[in-house]
Amino acid sequence: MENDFHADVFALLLDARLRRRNARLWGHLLAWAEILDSLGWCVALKDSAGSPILSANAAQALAIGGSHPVAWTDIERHLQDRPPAIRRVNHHELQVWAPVPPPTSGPRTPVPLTKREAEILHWLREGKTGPEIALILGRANRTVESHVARLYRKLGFRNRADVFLGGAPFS
Amino acid sequence: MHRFREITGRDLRLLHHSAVEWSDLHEPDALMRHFIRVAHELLPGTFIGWNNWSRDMRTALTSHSSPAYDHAIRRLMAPLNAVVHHHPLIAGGAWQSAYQRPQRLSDFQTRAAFRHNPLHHEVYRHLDSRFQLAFNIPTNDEKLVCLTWNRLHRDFTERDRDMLHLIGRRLGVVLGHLIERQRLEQACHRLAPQLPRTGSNRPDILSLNPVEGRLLAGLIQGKTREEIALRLGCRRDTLDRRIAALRERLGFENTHHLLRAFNEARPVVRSRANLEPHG
Repeated sequence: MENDFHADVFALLLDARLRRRNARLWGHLLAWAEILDSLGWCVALKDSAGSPILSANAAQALAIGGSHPVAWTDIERHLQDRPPAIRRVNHHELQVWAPVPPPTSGPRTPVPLTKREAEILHWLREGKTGPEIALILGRANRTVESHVARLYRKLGFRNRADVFLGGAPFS
Repeated sequence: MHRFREITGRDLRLLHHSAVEWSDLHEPDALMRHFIRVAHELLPGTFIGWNNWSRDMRTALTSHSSPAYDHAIRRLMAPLNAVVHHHPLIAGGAWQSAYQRPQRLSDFQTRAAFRHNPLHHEVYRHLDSRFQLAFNIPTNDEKLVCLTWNRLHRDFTERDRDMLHLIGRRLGVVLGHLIERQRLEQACHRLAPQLPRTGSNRPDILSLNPVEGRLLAGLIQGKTREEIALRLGCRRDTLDRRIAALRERLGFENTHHLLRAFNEARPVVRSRANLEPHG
């Protein structure tokens, strides 16, 4: 009886130890899948039970009639029948793709920028701060600040991150 | 629930020590090779086999054993598949019971009767196998592993059966996790080339945990630091420290450079209007 108890406890501890190791690997995969999704990619991973785990973009792209595919084979079939614009990884454990963007209603009107605004946008994208740009251009800090504020308004930027993100993914 | 009455504390210690060694291995094939080397120390046998079968046990896929018999079993795979349906467990439809508990061949057919069995004539007599104990381990891929202990001179006792039962259960746990690990490593290997470049290299896929992934995703999506801190359930100053540590680890001078580098990994897709034919 005592040996049975020790055997069961050992089995549980062994299982927990091995499970933790695999959980860490799975965590790394999920971390990067979330980052790729935030960049505009669709990511589908297969879990240990063979079920698909979809990033937010992937879930949106694969939703048909309001429901998501429940089996991995459904995803592969969907991507086969409706080829995406870019298919980066096509593997039985992992799919990474970029869907075809929706049709635009008309030609996009480019936002006109003045020469100074274009110059400041260039330096912002180089990672320069306001005082650094003022120094480069030989202008006062306040002048650069007002150019930056007008730039943000024109291009719809909320913060400095949007300067690099450039708005919607498929621009 | 089955009680392992015949197993002593010494048996358990030996088995647990082996199981810990198995759990330090990194892949299923390494486990199989190691197991074949040490199996005899756990439970003596003449010919010990690690056999991969199709799930329905109609086809023996591969078989591995100690060097003394390895060459012979490879040569006998085709004859084995031709006569395996004569195996007393399979012929009797009882092979699935080998999942619950090790099955002893002599419980299904006497030694005298087995001598006339085509399976013995074509295969087993070449492998010094008159007595057999078999236990099936389901795996999380498409095959099952059937462990077979075979002896030439004496049959297996209830203690031997209990021992194989425990060996098989421990092995099953370790094997299942190693197969899963191999699967995850393959996925990591496939995903690694898709990661945004940090300088001249790509980051190590093992460099981020889920919280850091969520943090970076928030920055990329243009969320404010307050929003990201709220989502992660941490204070703003903690978040700032985490961002700084992450940025340094990935090799960037400032967060703007980091975001710029990641931005280059966005998909570049022409709009549908451009994809449609003109005219």
